[in-house]
Amino acid sequence: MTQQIARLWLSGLILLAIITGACSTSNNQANTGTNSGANTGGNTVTIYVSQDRVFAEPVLQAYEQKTGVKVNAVYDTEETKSTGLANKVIAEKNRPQADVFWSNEPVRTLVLKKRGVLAPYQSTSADDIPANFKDPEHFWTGFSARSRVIVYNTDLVNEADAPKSIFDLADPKWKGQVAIADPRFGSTSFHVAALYAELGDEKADDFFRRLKANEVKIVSGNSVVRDLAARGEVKVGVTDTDDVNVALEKKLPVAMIFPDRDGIGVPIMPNIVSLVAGSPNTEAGKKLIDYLLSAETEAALARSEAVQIPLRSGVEAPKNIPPLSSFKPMTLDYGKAADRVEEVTRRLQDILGL
Amino acid sequence: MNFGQIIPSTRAVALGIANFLLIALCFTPTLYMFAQSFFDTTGELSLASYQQLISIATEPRGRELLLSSVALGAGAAVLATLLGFPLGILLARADFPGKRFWRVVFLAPLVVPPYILALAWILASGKAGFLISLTGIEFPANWTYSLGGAIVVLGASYFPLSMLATEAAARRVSGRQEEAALLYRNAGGVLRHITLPLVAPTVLATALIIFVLATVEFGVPGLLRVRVFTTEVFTAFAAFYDFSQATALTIPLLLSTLLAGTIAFLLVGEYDLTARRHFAGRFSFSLGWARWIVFSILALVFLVAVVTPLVSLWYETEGFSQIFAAVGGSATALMNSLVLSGLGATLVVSLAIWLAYGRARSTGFHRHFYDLSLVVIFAVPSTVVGIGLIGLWNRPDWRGAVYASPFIIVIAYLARFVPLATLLLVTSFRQVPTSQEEAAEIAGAGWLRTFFRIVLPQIRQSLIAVWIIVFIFCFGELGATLLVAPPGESTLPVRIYTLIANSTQSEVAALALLQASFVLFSLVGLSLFFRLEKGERGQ
Amino acid sequence: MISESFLHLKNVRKKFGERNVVDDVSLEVAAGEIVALLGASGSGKTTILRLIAGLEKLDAGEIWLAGQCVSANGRNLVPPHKRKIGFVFQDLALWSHLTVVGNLNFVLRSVGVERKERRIRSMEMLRLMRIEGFAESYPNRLSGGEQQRVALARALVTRPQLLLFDEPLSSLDPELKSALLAELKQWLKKLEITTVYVTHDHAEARYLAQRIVKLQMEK
Repeated sequence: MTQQIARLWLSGLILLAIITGACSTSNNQANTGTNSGANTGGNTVTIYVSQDRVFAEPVLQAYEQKTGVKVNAVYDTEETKSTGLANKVIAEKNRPQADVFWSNEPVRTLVLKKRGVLAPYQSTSADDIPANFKDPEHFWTGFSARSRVIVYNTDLVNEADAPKSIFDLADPKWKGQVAIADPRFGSTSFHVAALYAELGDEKADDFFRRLKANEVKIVSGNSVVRDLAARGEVKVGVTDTDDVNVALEKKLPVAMIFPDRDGIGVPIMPNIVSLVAGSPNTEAGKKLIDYLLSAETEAALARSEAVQIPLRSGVEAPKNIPPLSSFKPMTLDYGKAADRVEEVTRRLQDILGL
Repeated sequence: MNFGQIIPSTRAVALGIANFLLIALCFTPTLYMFAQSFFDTTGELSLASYQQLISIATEPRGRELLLSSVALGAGAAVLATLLGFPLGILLARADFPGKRFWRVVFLAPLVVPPYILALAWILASGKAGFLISLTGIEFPANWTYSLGGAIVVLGASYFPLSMLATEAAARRVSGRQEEAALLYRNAGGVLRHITLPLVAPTVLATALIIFVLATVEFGVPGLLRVRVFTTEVFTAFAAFYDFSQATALTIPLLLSTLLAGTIAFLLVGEYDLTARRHFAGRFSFSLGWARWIVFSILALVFLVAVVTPLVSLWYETEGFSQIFAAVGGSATALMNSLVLSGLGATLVVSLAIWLAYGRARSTGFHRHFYDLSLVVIFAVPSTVVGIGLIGLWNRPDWRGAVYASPFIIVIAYLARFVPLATLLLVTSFRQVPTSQEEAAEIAGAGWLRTFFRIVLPQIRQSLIAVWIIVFIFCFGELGATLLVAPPGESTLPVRIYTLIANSTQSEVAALALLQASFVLFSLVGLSLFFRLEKGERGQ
Repeated sequence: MISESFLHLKNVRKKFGERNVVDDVSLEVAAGEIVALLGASGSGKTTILRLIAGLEKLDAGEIWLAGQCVSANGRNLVPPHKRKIGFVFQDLALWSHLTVVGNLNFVLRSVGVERKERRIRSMEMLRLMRIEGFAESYPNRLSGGEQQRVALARALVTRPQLLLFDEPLSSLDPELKSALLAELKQWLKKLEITTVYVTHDHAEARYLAQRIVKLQMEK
C-alpha cells in the first residue's frame, strides 16, 4: 500500500511533467523564465515594472538585444486587482532585490521616495528632458507621458456637445452618464491629487461633491471606464490616453478630448524611473535607466500602441495625439501634489463614500 | 529500563515535526506582520494603526464594513450550501443518468477564479451584454454592482465545494443505518431523519470554509464595488502602502471568522460517526417521474452557473484566433503553474496528513482551539501573507537563496493552503477506527508502517479529492504569488493579470477563458488518469 | 391464491452480477414459529432476510407475508416500512446521531405513536431490557452487550408482526453470548412473534429455534 500511495503521487507528478512537456515543445523561447540570476554580477539587471507589460516588454527586450545584458523583469497588475509591486519594493527594503523601479505615473514613486527605498541618480541622458519632470534631488526622472483624457461615445454624443473640461462633468446634463475609476488608485489618484493641488481643498471638495450628486459611476479601473463608454453604458468618462487608443485601434465608437486646454491645463502624467537604494547591481541599473531615459525609448513608446507623448521636443509625437507643444499642460509641482495624495485619498473616501 | 519512556515515540516525533512545520510555514508570516504592525513606517514603535482601527470600529463606517463583510460571507455560504447540498445528496443517493458528467461540469465554477466569474456576469448583464441580445430584456446592471450581486457570484462559484463534501459524506454514511430506518419510513423520511443529520457536520464545516473563502476574497467585491473589510485591507496596501494599518484591519476579519467558527463547532458538536464496519452505501432512492424535475433543476443550475458565464466570455471575444493569440507566449507561464501547483498540492497534502491525523486522534478540549486556529489562519488575506513571507524569507542567509528561487511560490502555497487541507482531511481520518491501528500495533508493525500501510490507504479517495482541491487553489493563487515571485516569468494567473492591465474587454475575456480552460483541461485529465488507475487496480 | 403459512417464500432467486446468491429457495414459516436459517457464510442467508424485509429486489419468485403478496415478478409490491418488520442487523445499525431513547422514539414516531405515548413505551422497553440507565447516551458509547439490547429493544418496540435476526450475537464473547441467548429465548417465547433467525452456529440454532432450515452453499 505504501508503494501504491507513493506511486499515485509520483504518477501524478509524472503526468504533470508530461502535460507540461507537451506544452513546452510548442514553445521555443530560449529563456526559461524562472531563472533567478539576480545576484550574479554586472551582466544582469532586475527591474520592477509598473508600466503595462505589453508596452514595457518590447522596450526591455530591445535593451537586452542591444547590450546583451539579461533583464529580469517583474511586471505589475492593475492596481485594483492586486496590491502591486510598490509594496514588494517597500517590503524588500532591508535586502533589495530590484535595481530599477519603472512606474507609469508619479504617485507611487513619490511614496517610495518618502519611504527611503530609492537612491538619487542624475542620468546624463535626461539632460534634454524639461526640468519640471525631474526631481530636483534626482530620486526620480520622468520620461514619455500619458495624459488624463475625457472619453465619450461617438454614437451617443456629438463632438460639439462633448465636455471640454473636467468640471463640465458635474453638469446635471450628464447626470448618471459619467464614469471614473476609483480615485484611490493608479493614475486617477494622481489626477485627483493634481486637482486638489491646483484648486485648493475647498473648491476641489465642492467639485467632487457635485460629481457625487451627479451620480457618477465609480468603477474598478480606467480600462473599465473606457469599456463602459465604448459599450454605451455611459456617455462619457475620464481615463488615460493609452486606454482610449486601444479602443481607437479596434475602431470602437469612442473619441478623446484633452480636457481643460484653455483652463487649468491638461493633466500630463509622465513615466517615472528611479534607482533602488542598495540594489544588487547598481551600475547595471544606472545603465538601464540611461537607456529608458533616452530619446530612442521615447520614440519607441510613442510609436507603440501606448501612444506615449515624448517629453523632449525633438521626438515625433504619436498618431491620434497632439504634440506636447500644442497644448497647455497643467503646471504642477509633482512632488507637492504627490505629498498630499494620502490625505486627499482619505478626503475623497468620505466625500464619494468609497 | 524502559526506553519507551525516555525516547519519544516515532509518532510523537512525527507529529511534533509536522506541527513545527505548520507553525513555521503558516503561522509565522502572519505573526511577523502583527509584530511589525506595532511600528510605523519610519520604524518607530507606534500604536497608530490600532488607534485608527478603534476609530473605524466606533464609527458607523466600521459597523457597515463589518456587517457587509459578514453578510457577504454568510450569504455566499448559505447560497452555496443551498445549491451544493441537494446536488451532493442527489449525486450520492438518487438514480439518474449521467452522474459523472454532472459531477465534472459542476466543478467548472470552482476552478474558474471568482474574479473571472464576476467579470463574466458584468459582461452578461450590462446594457450591451449577451443576455440582452439573447432575450431582449434589460437586466438590472446596477444590481450586479451590489452586495447581492457579490453574494450570488461567490455563492455560485463555491457551491461545488459544498456539493463534493456532501456527496463524500453521504457516501461514508453506513448504508445499514439507512436500511434500518427503511423498515419504518419511506426513502424521503430516511433521507430527512437519518442521512441528513449524519452528513450535517460535514456540510456545516464546509459552509464555514466557504464563509471564510468568501470573506477573504477581494477580487469580486473589488470589481463589484462592494465595501468589505477585505477591500479595506487591500486599500491600505494599494492606496496607502501602510502595512501596519492593513494588518490591523485584518483583525475584525479574523474575529468574525473566529466567531463563525465557534458557532459552527457549537452547532455541530462532535458526535462519533465512526461506523463499526464500512458498508458501501447501497441505499439509493429511485426518482421515477421526479427524474424530470431533477433533470430540469440540474439543467437550470448548469445553465446559470456554468453556461452563462462561459458563453458571456465567449461572446465578448473575437473568436478562436484571438484566443490562440492569447495562448501564444503563455506556455512557459503555464508550465510553471502546472509544476508549481502540482508540487505545491503534493507538499501541502503531505504535511496536512500528519496534522489531520494528529487532530483526528486528539481528545482533549484543546482540539477545538486547534480547529479554530486553522480556520482563522486560513482567513488571513493573501497580501498580508505575501508581505510577511518577504519579511521572513528575504534574508542574507539560506532563506535568501530560497526567496530568489521559484520555490518561494511553493512556500506561499504551503502557507496559505495547509490549514485548508488539514481541515478537509480531519473527518476522513476520524472514519478510520483506532482499533485498526491497534491491531497493526499488536501484530508488531511500527507506527510509521501502520500509518502508511493501514491508515492512509483507507482514505485514499479523500487524499485524491483534497489534492485536486488544493491544486485548484494553488493554480488560481495570485495575491501572495505576485508579491513573492522572483523576477522572470512566473505563473499563469500572474501573467494573465499583468497582461489584462490595459487590454480591451475582448482580450480580457479571451485570457479569462484561456485560464478557465487550462484548469478545466488539467482537471479532466487528472480525473481520467485517476479513474484509469482505479480501474486497473480493480482488476 | 392465499398461502396457509404466515411467511411464504416461493422459488425465490437473486443474482448479484453473475453469482446466484439465492437460487430457487422456498420456505414456509407458520405464525408464531421460530425458524433458524443455518448456513455457512456465502450461503445467501443474509440476502434471504433482506429480500423478506424488502431491502433487496428479487429476480424471480414470490414472497407472501400475512396473507399478502409483498414481492413478486422482480418487484417489491409492499415497501419495507409497510411490512411491519423488526430487524436486528449483524452490525446492529444503531443510528449514531440519536441517543438510545432517540433511536426508539424515531421508530415509534414513524409508525404513528403519539409523543407522550412514545416516551412511555420507549422507557418501558428499555426497563424491560435493563438498559434504562443509558437512555440518554449515544449508542457508540455503550458496550457490545448494551448495544445488542438497544438493537433488540428498537426491533421490538413497535410490536412487529415478524422479527428478523441477522447473526446478531456473532461479534460477542461466548459468556455474554450465552447469557444474551438465554434472555432472547425467553423474550421470543413470551412475545410469540414469528421469527427468522440467521446464524452459522449449530448450537445457537438448536437452542433457540423450533425448526432449523439448512441452506446449501451455492454451486
